Amino acid sequence: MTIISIKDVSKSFKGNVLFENINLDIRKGQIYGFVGPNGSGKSVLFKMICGFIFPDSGEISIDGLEIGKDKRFPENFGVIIDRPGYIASKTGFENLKELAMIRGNISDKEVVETMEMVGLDAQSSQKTKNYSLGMKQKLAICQAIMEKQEVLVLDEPFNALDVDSVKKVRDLLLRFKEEGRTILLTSHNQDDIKICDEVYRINRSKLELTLPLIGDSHS
Amino acid sequence: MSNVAEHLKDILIKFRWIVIGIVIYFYGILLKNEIFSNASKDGLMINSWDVSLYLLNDIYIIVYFIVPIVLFISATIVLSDFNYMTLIRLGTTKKWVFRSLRRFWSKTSILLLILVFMSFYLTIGVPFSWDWSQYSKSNISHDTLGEIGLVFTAPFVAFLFQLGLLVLAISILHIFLSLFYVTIKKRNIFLIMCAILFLGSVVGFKLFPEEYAFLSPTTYFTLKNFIDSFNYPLIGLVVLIGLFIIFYLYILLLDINKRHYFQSIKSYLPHGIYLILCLTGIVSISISADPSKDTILDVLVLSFQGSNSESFSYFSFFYYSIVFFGLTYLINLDISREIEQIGYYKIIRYRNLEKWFWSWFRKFLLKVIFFLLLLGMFSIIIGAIVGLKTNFDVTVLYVDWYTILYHFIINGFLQITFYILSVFIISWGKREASYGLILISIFMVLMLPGINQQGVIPVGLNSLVNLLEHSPYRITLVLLIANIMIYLLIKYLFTKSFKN
Repeated sequence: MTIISIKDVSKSFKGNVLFENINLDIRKGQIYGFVGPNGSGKSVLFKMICGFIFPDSGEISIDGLEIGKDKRFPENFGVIIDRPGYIASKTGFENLKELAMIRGNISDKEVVETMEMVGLDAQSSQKTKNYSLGMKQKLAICQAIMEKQEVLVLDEPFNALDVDSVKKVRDLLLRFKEEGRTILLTSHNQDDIKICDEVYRINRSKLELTLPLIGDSHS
Repeated sequence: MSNVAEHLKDILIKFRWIVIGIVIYFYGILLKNEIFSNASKDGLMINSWDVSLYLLNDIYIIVYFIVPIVLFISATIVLSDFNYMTLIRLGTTKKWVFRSLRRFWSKTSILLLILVFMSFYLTIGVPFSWDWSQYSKSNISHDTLGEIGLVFTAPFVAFLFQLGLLVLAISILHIFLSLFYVTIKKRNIFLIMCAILFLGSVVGFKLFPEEYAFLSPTTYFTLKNFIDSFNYPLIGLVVLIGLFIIFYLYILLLDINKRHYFQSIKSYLPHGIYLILCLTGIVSISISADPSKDTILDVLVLSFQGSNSESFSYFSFFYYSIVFFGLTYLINLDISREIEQIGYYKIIRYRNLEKWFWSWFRKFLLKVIFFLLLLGMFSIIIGAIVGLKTNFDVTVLYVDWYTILYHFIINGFLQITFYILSVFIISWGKREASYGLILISIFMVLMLPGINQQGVIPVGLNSLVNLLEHSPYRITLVLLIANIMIYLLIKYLFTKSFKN
């Protein structure tokens, strides 16, 4: 079942053509990886899918609803795009609670459980301004998954995480896949991409399907 | 409930609010002493409203204290709250703007509360009355309280108006900043805009001449400046509400991919520019008319007088060219499209060139009639709006009103029809819209002085100035013959096309 449909999408950014008539159907319950050199447009692609920016031409539909026409931002998406901003004077829990209150569909207990899931201490009085990069990244992952979002759009989710945390998050993503959630992620690390069902390389403004690397060993 | 009380207590006892309260209090004491000293000098009675309204209307505390704090709160909220995590949860940018406004007021309301509280606190020991005091009615206070007293019957009403004004103006300021950031998404430019607004406030009340005071943000923060700029507060309120409506309309557009709309606007751009030019001519003639003697029909005559071999002016000639040849050119573009792009697909279905021709040509004829009626109506309405006499006399031409209308509508219709048929022939023969432009240029030359002396060349005959020399019915006859001839030529070309 197609959940995200990208049709003939083109996008230029500051004079550079990032995408030219790309087409892609994202099916429910799969993990998709996107790779490409820096500045190739991975984040721009994710921003277009989430409705944060519009394509120059073509259309992107989520569950049959066109972004920018029928809907602005898709529902039930968890996102990590760019460096997430937090209220520096609040703790991690307070920051997440602030976000959870927007929709109001999860309890404090669920926020705490999500924090524990990624290895953050919910009871800690440490303000986010004193968080390490890795802790901030874990907090970003928490906010993207805590409301049991159906689709996760994760730009470099493993950045700044230690080895144990990377493994923990990878296992978490595979569990989400089993639950039927759809995941889109980018990474520079081949090991991270191994969990993907399909991997696309952004090459010369096009999306090229590369072979899935599942089962491939990486030294 | 206890949670709410705790939260409120937490907020109120924050150090920054205490500092703000102290600053306002001490500044208020200075103002209060000033009122006391002025009033006692002249032996005038004051009341609590003098102190309260004087503080709320003090431009220095507004510009150098309240505005910077408001801008700081607004900028902090916009910059911290506009992030992808929040947006994806809210679903639309529109919701974000309103959420941002709510968050802004959750902080700014405390500032406003402190200001109002201090304005009342300083009245302790001052007699209370529901009426304006002797002092506020005197010439001494004419700078601030007197002007307000002239507009508002009771000080309490003025106080409520001042509060409402502050709430509305500050809300609009925050909405503007939110929309500005949503649009540009650049932190530095946003901060520069905040600085410009602050400097605009400082410079505005000092340097802006009275007639441009409405451009200064400070005008909308105090009742005194508001009255100075708009004479009557309701007009200022209309400006603020108008701004709010404009911003709201923009908010509605935020979540739409404007690409589709720009494309459709682009296709109507020539028509839009054309209409603006038509209206500009009518408006400029209406404004230059003399309301003491000119009538609304004079606007019609002066606008569409055109030119002929005897009577020529550049303005009339060019305005005629814009209105009538401009319309011909726009129709020429449509005709070219009809012929080049879709003509053949349609012709093959109609199986008859004449049927195909009338299928679209009659629509153009209807549009021409509608257009002429619209032009006539605009002339009359704009003439009436600028205050010209609303009777149906014509003072600039010795002709009856019905002759004018007959010539404008009937001969105008026949003349434009002739132009359209002429450009059709060119388009049909050359399959290229630019040849239509060459024909229009030839028509323009034929309207120059000394060329069409007998009025038999069917170009520019619908100029109202022709009524000076020719009967409108003679012109109708000339145009009818010209149209029949050109239509017969088209029929001939159609027959020839089939033979080929």
